[in-house]
Amino acid sequence: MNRNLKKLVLPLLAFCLLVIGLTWAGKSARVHSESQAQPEIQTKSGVQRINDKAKAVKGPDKAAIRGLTDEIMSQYGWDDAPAAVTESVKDRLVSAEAKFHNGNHKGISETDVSRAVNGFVAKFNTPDYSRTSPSEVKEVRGRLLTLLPDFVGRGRVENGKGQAKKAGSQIAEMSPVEAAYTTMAVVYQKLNNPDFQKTQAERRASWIEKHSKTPAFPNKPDSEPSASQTARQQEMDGVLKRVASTASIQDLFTLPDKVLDVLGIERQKKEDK
Amino acid sequence: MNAILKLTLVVALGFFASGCWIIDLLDPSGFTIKTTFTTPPSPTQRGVTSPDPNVVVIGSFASPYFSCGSQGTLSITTDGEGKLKSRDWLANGYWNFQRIGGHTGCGLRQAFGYASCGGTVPLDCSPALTFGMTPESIDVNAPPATATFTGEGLDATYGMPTIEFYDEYGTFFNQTTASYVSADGTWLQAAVPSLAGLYSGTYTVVIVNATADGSRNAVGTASVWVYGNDMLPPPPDPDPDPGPCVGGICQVY
Repeated sequence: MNRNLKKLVLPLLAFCLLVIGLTWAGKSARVHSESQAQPEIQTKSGVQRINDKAKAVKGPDKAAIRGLTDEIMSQYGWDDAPAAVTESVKDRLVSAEAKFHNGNHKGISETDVSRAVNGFVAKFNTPDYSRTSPSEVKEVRGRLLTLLPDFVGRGRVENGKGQAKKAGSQIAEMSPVEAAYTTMAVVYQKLNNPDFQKTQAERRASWIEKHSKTPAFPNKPDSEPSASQTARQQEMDGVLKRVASTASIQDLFTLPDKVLDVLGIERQKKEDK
Repeated sequence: MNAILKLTLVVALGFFASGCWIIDLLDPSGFTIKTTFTTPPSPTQRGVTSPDPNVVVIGSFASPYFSCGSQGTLSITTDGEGKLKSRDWLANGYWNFQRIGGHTGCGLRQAFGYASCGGTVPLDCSPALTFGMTPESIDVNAPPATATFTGEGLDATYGMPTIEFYDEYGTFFNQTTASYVSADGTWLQAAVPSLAGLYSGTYTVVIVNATADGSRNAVGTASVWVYGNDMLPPPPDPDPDPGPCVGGICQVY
């Protein structure tokens, strides 16, 4: 037993040390080179890049949809995930989005997104203020509309044209790619934004206060931006680290597909691939 | 000896299973910079935060003491997700930061904040929208006849731009067509549509250029504060937040 264990551990340990060494060396080199390099300012912001890619989607064109999907996933950190997982998720989203614009895939509601986000709360036992609701998801979409008017609430697109809007019409149901983006955006608020780290009771109290009377200073922000974290931001940072260090590889690999299931995004059939 | 080998095996497997998290958990050092931007402030809406990728950050440590790290200055560009982490940066102390670039309108921003060992420093920016509207606020009972929008990229080649109005939940309520667009495409004038029945609140305006093929081409957004009708609508979400169970079937990740 002891000998067998040694046989297993020694090569593993050697490989582990090699990986640690290479990782640290790589990181040190990166930080060093970035410290020395001239700062590079992108000509287009992340939002502009998403808007441009969304504008290029004029229907069920898979190449344009793929460009949009790549962009939104990149901005939410998917470039660091294993390619096997990322590619499978992207393929599924692209296929479903093309079907959506063809009229062969249903739109996705705010309830579906809130259910998907609250699934994380149940799975990882995160704090109560990380739960969300359909109206909160709709609020996030309403705000994102100011940044991404070519993407958010656009609905089905045919030859670059959306459906005509009637006065009083609710924001359109989400396409699969918009639903994935919105889900990531809501999770991002729960991890990073103190204004959204609120329990349902706190949300309701805040909503009533904001809507009960005309404020004296319409442009006063909800909370001043700060370079220091709030207690809830720190707690959510801790949650993220706990999840990353305790969740099994199997769980992390299968999670994205399960989230897409809850959103109602169809799994790819063989003929779609 | 057997116990040490088993422990080594657990640590090694933990390392593989968790990337570098296990190192950070056992020996937190340095910190992570996260560049974000938040939608402009509004009296009735919360700001939504998004990653702001590829932002230049310059920083200098401003405390006499630190508990971890070895590097007291930094000059970096955040990655495609708006993050960058180094175990070398001094932490458990205060830093001065400058963030340069990123989302349109962020420009140069300064910040002062506490960095804890293994923690995260958020560097946020809350810029104005791409178009400004004059007037900035409208009395729903006495709206002006016209409004002016100032920005860039307006184009009347294929017809006058359309101005769409949405409430804070993205509900479309009306649209109007520009009556005049400046030759350099930096401003337009349009009639203010009927606002009858609107509640006080911040409304989003989307400006859409006409195109040759009739496809949608939003050129920018603005916001307007509408006041004078403070009736309290019912609070949202009377039911509990939806869980992962639908019709007795529970989808557990």
